Amino acid sequence: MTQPDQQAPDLAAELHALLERLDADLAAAHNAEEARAAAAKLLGKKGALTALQKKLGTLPAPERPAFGASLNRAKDDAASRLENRLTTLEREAFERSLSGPPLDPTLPPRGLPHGHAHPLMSTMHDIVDIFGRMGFQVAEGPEVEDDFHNFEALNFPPDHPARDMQDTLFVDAPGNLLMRTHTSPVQIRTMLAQQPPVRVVIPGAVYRHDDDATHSPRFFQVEGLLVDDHTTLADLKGCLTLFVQEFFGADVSVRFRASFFPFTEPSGEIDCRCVVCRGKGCRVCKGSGWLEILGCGMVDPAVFRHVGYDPEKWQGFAFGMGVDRLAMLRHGMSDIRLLYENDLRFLRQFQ
Amino acid sequence: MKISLAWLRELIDLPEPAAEVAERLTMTGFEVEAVHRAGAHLEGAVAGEVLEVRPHPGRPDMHVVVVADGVGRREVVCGAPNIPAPGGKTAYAPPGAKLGDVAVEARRLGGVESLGVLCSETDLGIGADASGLLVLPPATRPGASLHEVLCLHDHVLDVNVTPNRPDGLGHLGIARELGTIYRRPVCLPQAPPFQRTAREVDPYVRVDDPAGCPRYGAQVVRGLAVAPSPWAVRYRLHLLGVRAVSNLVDVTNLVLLLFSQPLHAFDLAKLRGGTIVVRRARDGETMFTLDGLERRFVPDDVLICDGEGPVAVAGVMGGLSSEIRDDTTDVLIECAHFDPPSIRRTSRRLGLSSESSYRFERGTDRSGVPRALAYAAGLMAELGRGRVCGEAIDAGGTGPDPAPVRLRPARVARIVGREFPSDEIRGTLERLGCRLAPASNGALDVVAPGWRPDLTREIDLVEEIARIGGYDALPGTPPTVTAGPRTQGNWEKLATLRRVLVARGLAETVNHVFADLPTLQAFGATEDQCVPLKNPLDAGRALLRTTLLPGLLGDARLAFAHRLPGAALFELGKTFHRRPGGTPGLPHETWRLGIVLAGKRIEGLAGNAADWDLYDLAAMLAAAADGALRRPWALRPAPDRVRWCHPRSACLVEIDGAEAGFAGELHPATADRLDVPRGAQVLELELTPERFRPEPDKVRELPRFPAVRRDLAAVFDETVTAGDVVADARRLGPTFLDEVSVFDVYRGEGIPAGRKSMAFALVYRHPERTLTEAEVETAHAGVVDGLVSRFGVTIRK
Ligand SMILES: [Zn+2]
Repeated sequence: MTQPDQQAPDLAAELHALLERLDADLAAAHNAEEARAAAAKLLGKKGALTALQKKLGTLPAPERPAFGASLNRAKDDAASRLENRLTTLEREAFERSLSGPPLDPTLPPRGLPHGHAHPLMSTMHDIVDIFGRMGFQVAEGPEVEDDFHNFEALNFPPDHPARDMQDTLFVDAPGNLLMRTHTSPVQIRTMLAQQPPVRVVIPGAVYRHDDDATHSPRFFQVEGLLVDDHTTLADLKGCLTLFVQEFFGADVSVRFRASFFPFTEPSGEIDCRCVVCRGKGCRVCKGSGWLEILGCGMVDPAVFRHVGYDPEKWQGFAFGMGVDRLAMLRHGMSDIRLLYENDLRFLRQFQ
Repeated sequence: MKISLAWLRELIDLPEPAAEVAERLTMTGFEVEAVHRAGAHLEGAVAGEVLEVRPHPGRPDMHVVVVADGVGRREVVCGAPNIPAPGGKTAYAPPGAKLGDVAVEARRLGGVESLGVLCSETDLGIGADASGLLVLPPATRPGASLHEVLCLHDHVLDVNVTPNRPDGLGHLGIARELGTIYRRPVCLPQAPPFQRTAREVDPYVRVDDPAGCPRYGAQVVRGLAVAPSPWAVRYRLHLLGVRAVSNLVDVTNLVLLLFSQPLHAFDLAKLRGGTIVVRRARDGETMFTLDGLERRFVPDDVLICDGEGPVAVAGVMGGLSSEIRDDTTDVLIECAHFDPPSIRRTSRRLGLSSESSYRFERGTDRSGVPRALAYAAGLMAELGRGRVCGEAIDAGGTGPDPAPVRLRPARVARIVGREFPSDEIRGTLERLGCRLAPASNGALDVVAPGWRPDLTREIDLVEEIARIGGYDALPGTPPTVTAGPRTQGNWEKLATLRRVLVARGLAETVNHVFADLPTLQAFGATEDQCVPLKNPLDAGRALLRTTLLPGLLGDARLAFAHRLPGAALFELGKTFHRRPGGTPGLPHETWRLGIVLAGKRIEGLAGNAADWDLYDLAAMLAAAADGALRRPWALRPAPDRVRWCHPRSACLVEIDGAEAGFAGELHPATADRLDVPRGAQVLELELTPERFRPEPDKVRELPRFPAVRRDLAAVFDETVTAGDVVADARRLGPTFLDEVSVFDVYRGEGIPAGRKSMAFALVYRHPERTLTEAEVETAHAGVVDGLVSRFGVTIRK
C-alpha cells in the first residue's frame, strides 16, 4: 500500500511493518473490543503512529511534508482496516446470534395456565348478553322469597293445582318464606318498583324439592319481561325466535306452540329443531325432532292487577328458560349431574 | 294422560294418521310427548285350535297340546291350568313369532320338543292376566292373526295435560278439542240402551254441604253379577294404563277416562240405612279408606256418609266398608261435582292423591253429570246383566248460568298482534261449545261450556282464539330496541370479576347452597344466624349456607380424590343470614366471592410445583380488587377474628379501608373437622353493591421533575408488617415523599431470631420543582428517625 516516493526507505518500511502487524492483530481479535485495542496500538495516545507523529518536528523542514503525508495515509489506512474488521466481526456476531440449538416450543408456558369458566355460568351470561343487545336490562332479586312474590302475585292461587307444577322448598321462618321456584318473582319486584315501560332480563338460581338423576334441587333460569302499551304476542314470537337463532345459529328452525303458565295468557312454548339429530328424532329430543327451549306468554292481567298496573293500558310478554338445558345442548352433554359436581376433570374442558 | 286414538275415532271422524293428530294437539296446547303403536310388539302370534291334550311323559305339571294353527298340527308343551278342551281356541305363538323382545323358538321341555308356546295375556304383553292361557271365542278361525282377532291395533298418545284443562283428562275432551281444530262435529258417547225398572227401595240422598258438593247425582243398579269385563274393555283399559278389575269397577274407570268424570260405586247393601248424606266431617271422625288405612278427618273435609257414618272421602277415595266385592249385586253409582279447592285441601292433608281427586281438584263438568251417570248406569247394567232402577237422583242440578264474559274483538287483535275476522272469532268460540250473544260495539257476550271451567275472563277467550288460529300463523315481529337506562345491580361487575379470575388461572364452580350446622359453625356462624329449611332434602342439607367455603373445599377434596395435584377454584354466589333478633322479613342475602387454592401450584414445567401460599391468595385478591372491583384493598393479620384460619396467616380483607372478608391458610384443625385437605388457602369477600365502583379512573398528571430514591434497611420485630412500616413512613415523610415500597425481606445470618430485616425504597419527588440534595437528606432523616423511635429498629448500612 505504501507508495514509492521521496521518503526515506526506513520510514516506509517501518509503516509497512506496523500495518502488517495491525492486520495480524485484527485477524486475531475475537470481538470489537479486541479489534479496537489492536488499532489503538497504532492510533491511540501511546500508539506507534502517534509516536512517529511526534518525530515530525525533529525532521528537517523539507522532509516534513512528505513524511506527514505518508503518516496520514498510514493512519487512514489503519482506521479503514479497523472499520473493515469491525464490520466483519459484527456480521459474524449477528450470524452467530442466529445459530444455536432451537427452543422447544412445546414446553408448557411459564406462569399459571388459564383458568376455566363454568359452562352454566358462561351460558347464562351469553343468554343475558343476547337480550342485552335487544335492550333488556338485568334485574335481580332474592333467592329466598315469600309466597306473595313467588306464587300469589303470579296468579297461583292457594289450593290451586298449578302449584303442583313446582315442588317447593320451604324456609322455616315466619312470613311464609320459601326458596324461589322460578325467577318470576323478580318480575313482580321489578313491576312493583317502577312504572312501564319495563324491559328486563332476570338471571339466577332457583330451587325445587327434587334431587335425582335428571333434577338438581338448585338450577338456573333466565327470565325476561317486557311491558309497554303495545307489545303483542307476535312481538314475543319475533323476539324469542331471534334469541333462539342467535343462540343456536341462524339456520335452526323454531316452532311456537300453545301452552299454559298461571302468570301468562295467552301462553306458549318455543321449540327448536333438535340440534343433535337435526329433526330426525333421537334420544335427546325423545324422538320428536324438537327441543323445548323456553316457556313464554303475554303477562296475565291478574299479574298486572297485583302490581298495580292497569291491564287495559299496559301489556307485554314474559318468558323463561332453563340454563342447564341450554348449556347441555350447547356442549353436547347428556348428564345434568356433571353441571353440579364441580369435577375439575370436567371443568378443565372449558376455557 | 294416555289417549287411545281408536277411542277418539269412536267420537269424531279422524282419518288423519296418529302423528298428524299428535302434532295438531301439540301445537294447540295439548303437548303429545310420545305416540305408541299398540300391538306393534307382537309378530306372528295367531289363534290356535286345541286338537288334543295329553299328559307330559316326564313332567306331571305339564301337558302336551296338539294345536292347529291353520297351517298344520303342532305339538306344544304347556303348563297352564286352563288348557281348553279339544275344539277350544287359544293364543299360539309358533317358532319365529316375536313377543316383545322375545323371539319364540322350538325347544325341548322335559324331553319333548315344543314347537312354540301357548300364551297368556301377560305373555303377549296385552293384559295383566297371567293366571292362564288367553282363551279365544269358539268361532275364532285357527291361524287368524291375533291382531285381527283381538283388535289389537291402536295408537296411544301420551298427552301432557296442563292444570287449566281438566277436560283434557278424558277422551271426550280431547275429541272436542280436535273437533274445534278440524272443524268437525263430535258425537257424544251413547250408553247401551236400557229400560229403567221401577224404584224398589228409595235410597235417600241429602246434601248438607252444597258449597263443598254443588251437585250430587246417584243411580241405583240392581241384580248385577260381578265378572271379568269383555276382552275389548280389558284391552282398552290395559292400553291406557289401568288395571282391569271386574265389570263393575271397570265401568267406573271407563267413564273416568271418557268423560273425565270420576264415579264411585257403593255396594248398596252395605250402605246403612239406605242413605247418603254429603256433609263436612266432624273433628276427629275416622274411616278406613280402600287402601286399608284409617283416616282421621277435620271439619274442612267433605265426607259421603250413610245412615251411620262416613263411607267415602268425597272425591278422593272410597271407604273399605262399602267397597264393591265379588258378591255385590246392587250398586249405587255416585256421579258428583265437588268444590275443587276443598278436594285439593283434603287430598293434600291426607297425602292421598287419586285419579278422582286429581280431576276434581282441577274441576269437572257440572253440567255433564247426568250424561256420565246415565252412560255408567247403562254400561254397568249391560256388562253386569243388571237393571237400572228408578230415576237418577240429582241433588243440586246444573246451577245458575255463569255470568257471560264480554269479548271485544279489538282486544284480541291488540293482544295477539294480528286481526281476526269476526266470523273466525265466532266460529272458534262456537266450536269450543260457547254460547254467544251480541253485545254493544261489536262485542260478544260469551258463556263457556261446563267442561271449560278455565274460560272465565276475556283474556281466556283471547287465548282460545289465538291458539286455535295457530301461533305458527302469527307474524314474528323483531323487537325494536330502545336505549334503556344502564343495567343496575351487580351483574356486569360479576361478569368482569369472573373473567378476571378465570384469566388469572382459577376454575369457576357452582355449588349447592345447602349445608349442616357444624359445617357452618366451623366458619364462625352461630345457629341463630343460619336460615333453616322446613322440608330439607336431608339432614345434611337443612340450612342455607353462610359461607361459600364448604362447597369449594368439597370440590377441592373431589379433585384430590381424582388424584389431581391441586385445585384453584372460585365461586361467585350468594350467602344467607337470618336477620338479627328474629326480625321478620327476608334473610340477608349477599353476593360473595370465595377462593380456594389447594394442593400444588404448577407454573409451567411440572417440576416447578410449589405449595400455594398467602401471597398467591393475595395475588388473586389483587386481581379481583384491582381488576374488577377497582377499589383499594389490604390484608390485615387477625388471628383472633379469623379462627378457622392458621394463626400465622389469618387475615381480614379490607376494601376501601372497611372489613370485607377474610383470607389465610385453612386451620389444620378446621380442615380435619371438615375432612378436607390440609394446607388450602382460602378467601372470602363480600361483594356489596358499593364495592363496585361505577366511575372511570381519573388521570394524574405525569411527573415533570426528577425523583430521588433513598433506600432504608432495618431490622424489625417479626410482628411488624411491611404495611405498618410503609404506612408510618408515609405519615412521617413530607408531602413530596412520592412512593414507599418494600423490596427485600431477609431472615438468617446476622439477624437475631424473632426478627427480620426489611428494606424499603423511598422515592422523593416534588410536583413543582427539582428537590435539592439537602431537602431530601433532611426529609429522609426525619423518616428514619421516626421509624427508629416508632419500632425501635436498628438501621442496617
Ligand atoms: Zn333429536
